Amino acid sequence: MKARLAYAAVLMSGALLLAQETDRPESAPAFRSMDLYFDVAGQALAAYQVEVVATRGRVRFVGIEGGEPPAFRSPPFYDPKALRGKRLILAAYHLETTPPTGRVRVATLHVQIASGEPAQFAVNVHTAANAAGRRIPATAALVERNTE
Amino acid sequence: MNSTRIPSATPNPPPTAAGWWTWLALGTAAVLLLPGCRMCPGRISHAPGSQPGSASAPPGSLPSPDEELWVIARGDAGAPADDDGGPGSGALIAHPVAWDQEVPLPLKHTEMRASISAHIATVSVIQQFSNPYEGKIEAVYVFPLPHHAAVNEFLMVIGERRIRGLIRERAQAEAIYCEAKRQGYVASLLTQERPNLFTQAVANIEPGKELEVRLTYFHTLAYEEGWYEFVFPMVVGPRFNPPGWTNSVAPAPRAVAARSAGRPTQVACLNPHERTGHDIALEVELEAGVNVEELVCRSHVITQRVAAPGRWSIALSPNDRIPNRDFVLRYRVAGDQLKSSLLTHRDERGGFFTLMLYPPRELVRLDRQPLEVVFVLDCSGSMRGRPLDQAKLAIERGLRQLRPDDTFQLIRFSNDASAFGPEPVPASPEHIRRALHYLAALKSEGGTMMLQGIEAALTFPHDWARLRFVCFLTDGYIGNEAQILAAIEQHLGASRIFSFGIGSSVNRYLIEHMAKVGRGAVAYLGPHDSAAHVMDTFMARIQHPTMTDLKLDWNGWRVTDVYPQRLPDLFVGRPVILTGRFEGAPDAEIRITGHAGAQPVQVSLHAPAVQSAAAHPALPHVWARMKIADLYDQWAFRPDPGVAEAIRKVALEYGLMSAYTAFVAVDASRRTVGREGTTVPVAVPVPDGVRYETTVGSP
Repeated sequence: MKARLAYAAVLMSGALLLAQETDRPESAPAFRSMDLYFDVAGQALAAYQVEVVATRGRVRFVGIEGGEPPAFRSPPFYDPKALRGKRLILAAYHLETTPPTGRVRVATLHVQIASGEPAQFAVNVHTAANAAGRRIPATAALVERNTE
Repeated sequence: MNSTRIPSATPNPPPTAAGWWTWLALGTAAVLLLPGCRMCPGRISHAPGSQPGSASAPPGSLPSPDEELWVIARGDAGAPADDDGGPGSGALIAHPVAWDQEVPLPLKHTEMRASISAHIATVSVIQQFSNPYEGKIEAVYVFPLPHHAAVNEFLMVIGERRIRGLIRERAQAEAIYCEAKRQGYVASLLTQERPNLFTQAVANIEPGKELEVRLTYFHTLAYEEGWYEFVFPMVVGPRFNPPGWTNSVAPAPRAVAARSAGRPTQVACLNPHERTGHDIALEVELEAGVNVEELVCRSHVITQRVAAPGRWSIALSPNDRIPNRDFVLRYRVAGDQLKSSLLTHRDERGGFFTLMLYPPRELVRLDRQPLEVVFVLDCSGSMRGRPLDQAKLAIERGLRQLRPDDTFQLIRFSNDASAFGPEPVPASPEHIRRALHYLAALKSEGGTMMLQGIEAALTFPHDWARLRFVCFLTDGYIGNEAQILAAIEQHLGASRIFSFGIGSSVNRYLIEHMAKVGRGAVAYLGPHDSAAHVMDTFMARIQHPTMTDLKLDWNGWRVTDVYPQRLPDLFVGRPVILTGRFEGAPDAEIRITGHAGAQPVQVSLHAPAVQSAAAHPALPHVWARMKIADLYDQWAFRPDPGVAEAIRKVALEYGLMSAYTAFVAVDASRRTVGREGTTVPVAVPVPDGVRYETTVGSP
């Protein structure tokens, strides 16, 4: 049966809420994709570390995809130790290409969400840096991608 | 057990010899009826290494092995038959008998790129899958990797998109994969069946589409007598499984490869007259840190060049790209071969080191005690031809070098075990002559009841006036490794086991662990190696005593978690590699004490100050992998849930493959059209030098 999820995405202060519709079989989990954006305003983003936590719902991260600009096309690395605690800590850097500026899709997260409870995520930027290695102000947000 | 009929579907015709495709309508051919996929509900799943009788799953009506049908599992056991021939349909393909027949399979190409620095190799393997059929497929490929490989990276590449897989507990990863597959998402799963045997499954590959899976692993290199050895295995040998052993790795003609009754891991084998378009490319960048004086590859044709001073670039010749034997690269380095070396690395997790410990020079000056040498020869069907000939040459060479005060025994095994005599005899010229006659008459046939060979070699009374050295010559093509290693552990006593891997693609995990558990050493004899040279090297080594009862005094350096926990003996010409964790600066004299015969021996090693943090980032993974290997060995001998949990914990913390963890990647951004596809096992050739008829069955 074709399962379908509609999401009520509430993007505020780095939090994303995914709610579930009722036409899905009770026991079937859903798969969703969420784009991870960094906004560094006028700065150039060369490196970052970010934490994504499912604060609500039974969520499993099932894939980490690279982002849009060539600098972040390779998928970021993750900390396997943090994953044991159901947190996803991602980090990426690049040295070769021109760092992107403004709002940047740095990665896409693929997740499996168990049925019965909407999922909610919190995004916490640990650090962001420019090509000189200096910290720059940044915000991050998760945006669900329409996968149907 | 599902008994759905599988309707036919039309594959994309091959670009050239389209004429040899024949389509069989249902009802005119046997149809394979299968449970669900191996990972998913409905298909048999075993805990790695589970004991005989732990699972059973009778197959339904299955075709006989000689039928020309293939493919073949429907993943969804409960799904109704799909008669429209559309995506998700099963496929039936029939081939007329023809020589050099090309079989289209989902695995198109494998690429291996290795970078060797000091004694650590970083290896990237790219597997390119495609779907040459008209329906969606799940590709399942059983393939080997080095048993000490620390697999820590897994990427699924779809076009320009790269999706990193995550390490998960195995059962959880399998559940994620199965659900993604069921819902139509492209997904991939990497599981470990043995430390040197893995299964790659890729779900929902659409017709005409391609994708790649990329793995990265690290491992240390073997070293002996000035030579380093880098090995990349390419094919899984056809393994024999004794009656009652259910956690097996079994070969099967590709026509019936999806049958999995009681056999969780099937290696689909191409018929002798078949080939696939699957080929392999291989590149090695070598930066040894010291001068490389000689570089040899007897297994393959290679090209080599000095890319920069001290840096070599090696590649597989375009004319030698059939993946049917191990790639073995050896290189000899300049300098003092007896110098021990220490590599360190420190990061936020703390300090890690590897110590390559060489035997002291004193051993060379000491003579050995009289020996009791037991040659044990695998005479099973897989050894027929060149492997058995090579093994016989090696034994003959060994017999001729025994001293009159030595004794010897000769044991053969296949379906059963028998010996040259009831007990070891002195190595007199007459006994040697008779033994050579006995050896020459031995033939290869039947199964590999290795357990009987082990018991015959280790359980007779020990002559305490002599050291007992058991030389085991085998290709190691068995599926019950845990049982064999447990028997060695149980019966070893004061014996030492020297295992000789015979052939082009031997089971190196078994061969090396026989020597490890047997506190001996390992040697390999490929089809193009000199049997005389390999045996001469071994005999030269045992002319001198080993350094036993090793103890390390770290002399104030705070060292913990050293692996292997049971220190092996040191043999002339062959170092051992230890790995561990440390705190503080390793700036001290490490003392190693032991015995050579009855004589106490001590050597010292100066540990230099810790190197830069970025010097050897692979060391934490090498350490974690060695810890997992040590734990796995414990578990194999004495299954204990606590050990399994310890393996799981280390593997998850360091992001490594193990028997209890797996990598899974799902592309959740798009659902493919139609239901889950047909499971297609990737068939492989039998290894070079191995006969299909004596290992897989009648083609």
